[in-house]
Amino acid sequence: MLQRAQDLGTRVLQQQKWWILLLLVVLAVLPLFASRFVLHILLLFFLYVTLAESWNLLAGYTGYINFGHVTFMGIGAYTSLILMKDFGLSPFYTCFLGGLFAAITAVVIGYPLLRLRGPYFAVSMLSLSFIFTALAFNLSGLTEGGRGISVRPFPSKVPFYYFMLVCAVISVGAIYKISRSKFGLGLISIREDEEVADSLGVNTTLYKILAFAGSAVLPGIVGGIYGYYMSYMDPKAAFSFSFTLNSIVMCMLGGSGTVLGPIIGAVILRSMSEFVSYLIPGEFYKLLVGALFIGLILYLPGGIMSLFAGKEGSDVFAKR
Amino acid sequence: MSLLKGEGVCMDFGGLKAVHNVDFEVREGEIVGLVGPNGAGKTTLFNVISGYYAPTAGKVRFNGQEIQGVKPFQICRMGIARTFQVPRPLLKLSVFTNILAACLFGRSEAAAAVDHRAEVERIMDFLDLNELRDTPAANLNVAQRKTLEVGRALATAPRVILLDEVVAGLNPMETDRLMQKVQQIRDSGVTLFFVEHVMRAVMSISDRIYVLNFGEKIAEGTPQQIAGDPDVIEAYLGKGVHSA
Repeated sequence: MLQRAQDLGTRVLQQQKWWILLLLVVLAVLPLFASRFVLHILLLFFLYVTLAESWNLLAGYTGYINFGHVTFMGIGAYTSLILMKDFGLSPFYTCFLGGLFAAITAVVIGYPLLRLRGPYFAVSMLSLSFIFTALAFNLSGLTEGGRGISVRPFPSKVPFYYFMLVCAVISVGAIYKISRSKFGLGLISIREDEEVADSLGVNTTLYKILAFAGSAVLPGIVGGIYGYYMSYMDPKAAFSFSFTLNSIVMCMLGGSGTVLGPIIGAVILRSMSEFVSYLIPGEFYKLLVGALFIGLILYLPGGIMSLFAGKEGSDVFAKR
Repeated sequence: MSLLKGEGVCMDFGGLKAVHNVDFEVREGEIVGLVGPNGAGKTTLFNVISGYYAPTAGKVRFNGQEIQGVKPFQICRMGIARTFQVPRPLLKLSVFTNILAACLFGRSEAAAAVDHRAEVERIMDFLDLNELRDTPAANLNVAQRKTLEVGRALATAPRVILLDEVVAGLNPMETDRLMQKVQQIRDSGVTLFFVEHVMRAVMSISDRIYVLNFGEKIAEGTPQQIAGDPDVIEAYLGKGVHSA
């Protein structure tokens, strides 16, 4: 009986593997058929999956709620657009430099800020995103200040689509791998009780900084791609709080600290946004996101994935 | 041979001298008790040894090497494990994974080259935690949580374990069972330094005992010597009216 149950488990897993592969193939060939509108919707979806999954690494696994996640995206956007404007380099290459700068920023500010916990860390990160907004306004020799940077748009949506798709797949794959690794267990220990993790031999300072830097890389990369896609960036758009808020709500709606949660959250929130904006144009959609966030914290703090976790919890390390 | 040694250890918090000028020595293979009334500085002393506090003055030596000010995770890897007075399991993780974390992270490089999962199973077997293997630690009762604390400490392959009130709050049967395990751990070659209020436990298994009161060491010796020491009796019961 047990044997049969295990066979079933293995079979379902293999079937899932094929479904995932099929989905990826469909997404990969889609640009051959799909309209520009569909590509636009999907590439924004991939962008948000990337942002939400990377937020998940620090908040869902390590327990550090980050209210300034957009900072890394903004750094990436400015890096790429400045290099394009001043040196004519294509963001399709320089976006990786944006990811690197974002990670370096995370290491430098992480060292002092990751000593703070709970709301103090959250608020200090929020302040950091404001500081970067102010920098972008005032370093006008570099950033053109409030006028913003305009670059010549790329004629096709297709490369943006593929870039965002790859980033989303990498972010999901990385979270999957990390959540089952020794590194991931170290992060989860820190989330559960940082002092205990320390006493059990986890180098908490190092692990937190690695998680922080890791959560900055992909936002830095997609920031550059997104900036090029919009072919315009100004301080308010690049460091807009709405990217942070969306990352948080998507992750918490689906279930933070899970691999699938942020994807589920992104699907729901993006469909909701398109649908509601279609029915009621304007900013009404943001009101709904806010209300959803409050409802979530009150009634379903573990997100949708927590509905599926059995009484044994979702501890992947105990599997025999 | 002296494994763990304190020389004039002081720990001040502002004006409060939580631990003042305490010397102690724990030799390899011993079970040493640390007792004293509430607020005597026992847990503070443990926090100094395990690296949570850097002592205001004095030295702590492990195996001859000075370790004051070394970070807790490094102290753990050097071979000093600890348990917490109020158990602090990683709540969302199973019993197995709690011990696995200690096994993966807490060992010295020399002790790390083992089959970690088998090692965890072996420890759960020893502590009779098998049936709770997949239970999230949040669902454990106090006795089980205290046992898990011991399991995590063991998983780091320590040379000495600092046990902080490991049987406080347990019923007599649970106390006896856990004390028996503690003695078995000592017999396997691990040195033990433990804080305990349950006198029955302290008196029965300690080789030597240190007594702290208001942060200062007021007595040391065998259980018999301690039980008859007038300073110790005074610290616990107050001065007798007829004694003079």
